[in-house]
Amino acid sequence: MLVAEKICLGRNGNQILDDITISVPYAKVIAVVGPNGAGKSSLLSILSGAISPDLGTIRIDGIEIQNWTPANLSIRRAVLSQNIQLDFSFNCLDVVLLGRSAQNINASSNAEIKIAEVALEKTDALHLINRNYSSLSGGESQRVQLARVLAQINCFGNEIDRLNKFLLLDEPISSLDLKHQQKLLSTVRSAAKRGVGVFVILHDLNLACMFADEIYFLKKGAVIKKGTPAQVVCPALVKDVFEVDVCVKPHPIRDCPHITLL
Amino acid sequence: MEKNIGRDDVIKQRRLRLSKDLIYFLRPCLIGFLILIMLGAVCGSLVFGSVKIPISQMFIVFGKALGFEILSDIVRRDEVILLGIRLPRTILCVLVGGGLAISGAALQGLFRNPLADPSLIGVSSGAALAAVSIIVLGVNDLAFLPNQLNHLILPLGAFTGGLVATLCVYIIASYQGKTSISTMLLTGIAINALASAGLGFLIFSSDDQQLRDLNFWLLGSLAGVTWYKVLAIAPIVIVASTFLVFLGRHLNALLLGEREAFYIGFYVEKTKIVIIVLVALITGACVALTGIIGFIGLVVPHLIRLIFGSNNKFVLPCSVILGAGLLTTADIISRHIVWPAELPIGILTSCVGGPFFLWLIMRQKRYQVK
Repeated sequence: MLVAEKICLGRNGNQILDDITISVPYAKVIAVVGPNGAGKSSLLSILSGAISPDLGTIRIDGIEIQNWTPANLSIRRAVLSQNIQLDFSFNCLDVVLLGRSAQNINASSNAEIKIAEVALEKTDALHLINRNYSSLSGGESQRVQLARVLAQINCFGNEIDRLNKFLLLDEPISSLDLKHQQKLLSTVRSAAKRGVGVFVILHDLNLACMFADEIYFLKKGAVIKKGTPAQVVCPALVKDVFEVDVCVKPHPIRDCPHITLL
Repeated sequence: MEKNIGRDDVIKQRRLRLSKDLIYFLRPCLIGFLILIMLGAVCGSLVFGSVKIPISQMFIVFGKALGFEILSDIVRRDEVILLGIRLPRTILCVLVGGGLAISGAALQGLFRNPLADPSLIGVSSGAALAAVSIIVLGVNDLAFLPNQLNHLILPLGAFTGGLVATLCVYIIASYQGKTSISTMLLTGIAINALASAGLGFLIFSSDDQQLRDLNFWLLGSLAGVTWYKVLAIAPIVIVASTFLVFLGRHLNALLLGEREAFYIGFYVEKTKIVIIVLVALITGACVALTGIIGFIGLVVPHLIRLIFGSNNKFVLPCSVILGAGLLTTADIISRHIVWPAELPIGILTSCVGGPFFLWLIMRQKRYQVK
């Protein structure tokens, strides 16, 4: 379990995160939603160990995150950031293999390439495998980056490979079309089914309701509400957090709430 | 319909696999080709000159030097020229060309920017300033030190200068793990300006003989090399380059950004410092012996990327090979182009590198517009 307790973070006199406690259990999808500047990405950076909070602790399976080496961390958790830039020409296979490169000195062996191919297939990007990364569109490159992240922790490998892993995703579907939004979130969902703990920042409340086990509503660096979609999502909460009027009805087919803008 | 899609997929898959296999087959061939170019250049550098030495004679001389029993006669003059003058010079070409090229490749990876080059961002001129200070102040000929140690003072001084310059550029140009291209180049301009002011002052205060030496040296020159000097920098360049070659995967990860490299599992800060120190070592050692030879570090990694793509596992070692080959070739040309005199090689590399740099900028501009 990935647990953050009582996280506070300030930058230049602004309180970015204020006393946040969050836990990401294995085999669950935790979605975080909130308006721009709510501190979602900062929370992700803290959970991933990239920046340390002013106050509070982060533990993976009870061990504080400062005590993990980058290499050991990279085996246990993979992180997808927003806006990854790569100004050099790489083919997509090499980009995906980058995810494996810290753990394996020989990152282009056949076994590694197989892992990369599976990951690319899961993000519907296998046909791009020999394309130059810099020639891809925004959505295509996002899929390749997600494949890199999936390959890093090999969450579609055999039983032992996918034990005790985490995925931390920062708006993984922000530039994807409808089909691929669905496809990628299903992939993430199936990774969770195989035991991977997922922390995902989303902007689409309906997709969050459809795919998440638990939703955290963040506003101004604080958790306003958390719980299963069916428990917590209501017009008052959405109004409070996003300042828009909505109506919430049960999803016609799935077992989750559906939000309609008014 | 469904079936058709299935078959198309299979065909597509097969084609993918084929083109992948082709890449894996072509790469070793291309590397072999690069090595051949380098060996050709090395042979050319040994054979051509004011005295032409037949290749057969060259092999006989080397055979004898390696202790084989040679039956045919050796022209004594050829032996002296080959072993005393051309061989150390050729080895220096290989070391400096390979070293500058791999430094350029590593800096480009570190700055995530294909325009970085030791001479462009001021590393070379920082090293040059330190080296010239040592020459003018005469610190490189200390009576109380043995001769071999005196040969090391210049490379080490240049290394320190190069290190300070690299650190300055890096600290100024990067902010929160991001390096701005324009800031980096502007910092390079500022450091180059400062260094040339310092150089100007040192030249102004030096005597006639020093002036002549300095001038030649500042233009970049491989002339007047001795075994002592080559042996002083050879271990530095070889060891540091070997380390850099093994940092290929770290540099690859850094291309995605420092944060991503940490996520992938690398110690980012440590890696950055190691790379900066290694680059400063190599550049310092090269500059100490040959002065400022520009653009090798820019042109060579670029050519390699055009052929192999940007994977640093290939870019770094192939840059060494091609850099060595190119500088050796340039040296052959510079020895002949104004015969019987000798053109400082820095002039030649800048003549070729300058237009290349312009072409790069034009290409980037086109890219950005698109």
